Amino acid sequence: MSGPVVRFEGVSKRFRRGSGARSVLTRLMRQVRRRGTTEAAEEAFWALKEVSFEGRRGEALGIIGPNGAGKSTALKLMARILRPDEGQVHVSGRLAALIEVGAGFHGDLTGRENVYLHGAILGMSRRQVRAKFDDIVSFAGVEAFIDTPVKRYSSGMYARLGFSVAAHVDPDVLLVDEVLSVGDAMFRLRCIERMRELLRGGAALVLVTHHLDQMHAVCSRAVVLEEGRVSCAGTTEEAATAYLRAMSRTKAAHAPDASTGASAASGVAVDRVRFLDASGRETICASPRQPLTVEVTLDVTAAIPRCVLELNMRRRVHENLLSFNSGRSGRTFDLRPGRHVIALNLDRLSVCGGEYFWNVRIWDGERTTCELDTAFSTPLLVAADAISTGQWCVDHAWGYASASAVAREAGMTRGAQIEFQAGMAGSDLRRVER
Amino acid sequence: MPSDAIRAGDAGWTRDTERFLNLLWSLASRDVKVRYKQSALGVLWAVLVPTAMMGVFTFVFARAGETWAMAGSAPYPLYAFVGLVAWTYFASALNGCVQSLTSNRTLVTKVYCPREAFPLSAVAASFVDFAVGCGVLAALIAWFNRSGAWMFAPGWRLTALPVLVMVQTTLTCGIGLALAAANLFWRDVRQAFSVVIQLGMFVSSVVVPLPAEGTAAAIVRAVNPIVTLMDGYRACLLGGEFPSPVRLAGMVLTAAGALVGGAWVFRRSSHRFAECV
Repeated sequence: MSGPVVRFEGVSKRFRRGSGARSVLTRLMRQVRRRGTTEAAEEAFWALKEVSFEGRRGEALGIIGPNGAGKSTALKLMARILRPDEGQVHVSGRLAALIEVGAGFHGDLTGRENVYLHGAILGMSRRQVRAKFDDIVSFAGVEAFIDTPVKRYSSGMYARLGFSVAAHVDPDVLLVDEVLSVGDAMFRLRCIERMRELLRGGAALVLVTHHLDQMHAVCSRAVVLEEGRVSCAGTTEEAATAYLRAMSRTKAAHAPDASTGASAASGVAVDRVRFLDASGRETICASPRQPLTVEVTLDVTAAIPRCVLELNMRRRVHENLLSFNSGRSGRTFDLRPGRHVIALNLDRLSVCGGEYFWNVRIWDGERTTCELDTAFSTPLLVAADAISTGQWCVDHAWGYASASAVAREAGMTRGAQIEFQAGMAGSDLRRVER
Repeated sequence: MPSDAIRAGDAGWTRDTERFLNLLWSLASRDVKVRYKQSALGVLWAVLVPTAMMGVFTFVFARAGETWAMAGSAPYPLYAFVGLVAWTYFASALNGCVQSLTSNRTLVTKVYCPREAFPLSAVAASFVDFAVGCGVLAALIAWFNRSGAWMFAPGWRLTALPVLVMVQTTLTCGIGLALAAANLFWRDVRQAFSVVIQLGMFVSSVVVPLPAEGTAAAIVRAVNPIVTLMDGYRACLLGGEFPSPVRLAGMVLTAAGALVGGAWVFRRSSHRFAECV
């Protein structure tokens, strides 16, 4: 029963670039205007080229890759929405695809009507939907609005109901495309839990995502797509690292102009921010537990005699994970007009795999005014760590902490034991008093 | 060789058919529900529209007097109503088919389900209005009989009605499948269709009978299966002669051919739907 449920064998898919069918009139006009010159034929490009991989029963396969790498095309080929130009796609068993949540919903119909409609579109019989109706509605948490037209739903409710129906089809293969970015944190957790449940039930799961942590949470293996080809297939760790390296390559290709934060008012601008690894080579993909140097190049037009430089790093909004202020370290820079390069050296980078963003702040140490505050737009990718999968990699060691601690726990007084258990179970304390 | 081999798993042919019919039913009932949502009169419109049309055409043609004669023995309002109910089923079903794939774009590009369900459910949704129209027609026939203006009991002739409806539905599905696929690739189809269907109404003896003589009328009668259908409906419900067996056979063959051809066109092009819609 552990044979492949989804198998791609040298699959290629070609699309045409260009506007597609053009009207006879437009074509005629063009021909008249530039007589003789024939228009360049519509250029074909391969969205996928000779892609092979497989997904097995009870296993979750992640597909990751930069935008436009062909992830969604792969999913649509699996779902039979598209047909490959070359190669073969094998899917055995019943398939449910979540490429867009609530794709089949009609705004004027109520939640109830839409559940039946969407169920039918995904291949469920009326009887099957009826049997699971309550589960579907309670999973989505829209009991109170089930007889309200979905056009009055919040986008979160809409998406939750869409996911809920698809997750209850009991598919042999579930395809999920980026849908977990909808809904609140609680709902995302429930979705992941539901996917694990389906996996335990023997289904195969294919998850397309940009979020490495989601992939880690669900998948055991992953495939990295880059420009329509498989660049890496292996464990999620290997794939995450390959993905981040791929990202750094595409980022390096596109000049990081976003990092420049020129402000007309102040006399200083950031020319660029770059990262150097232990050997002094420029990189966008750093390794955890390794030294890192952040180098800021400033263009100064008006002198700042006691300049304080601050560098911050964030993962998502709101919170700085790392913040370095030269003033707090007792270091100021005397910046005269001209170009200056300031470096921040980190002995060990203690964060784990993911994408981080940096900004630059410049303070005038004398007037204590902020001269420059750039957006968090300078990316730094950090490869996955072999030992830690959390947010941080902290040096640690495991040891056997002697037997006496266990003995002490076992030797607790009876009353304390009961209290302890009651506390753990959150049960009624009065029982303990009695 | 490109293929998308799918093992049926535990689902056999009957399960697939059941699912397909359920899908068809769900899409059709969605269309019907949506059509009358947020409307004060709701399904009553299915009665009002053909009745009002009948009134209009009676006002336009029946006052001339001669149309009564052209319509044979039956009162003109009934003549017109039979034609209008059948024609509306044909035209509105095809109109639904033409737009069925483009208006379900998200489903076509984001979900896999048998694509035939979209045009066929449009036909099914129009059938609901047709059934309501038939009910009104029955009431009208009964009312005319009671008023004594005209006496006719269809009797055994009614057995031909379901056959005629089936032939019409087959024809509609065939043309509809082809039009749905064509409109996905060339949106011109929708524009052309609205013109053709208007024109078609006047060469299909819907409200005005074709002239009994003349080569033009003979040609139209020979090539247009709708004329035969209309003649058949009227013979069956209002009395008069059934079309000749040759014409009936031609009509059935045309309908069957349309279905086979339409389904073939649809199948052949369906793998490109998601890319081109």
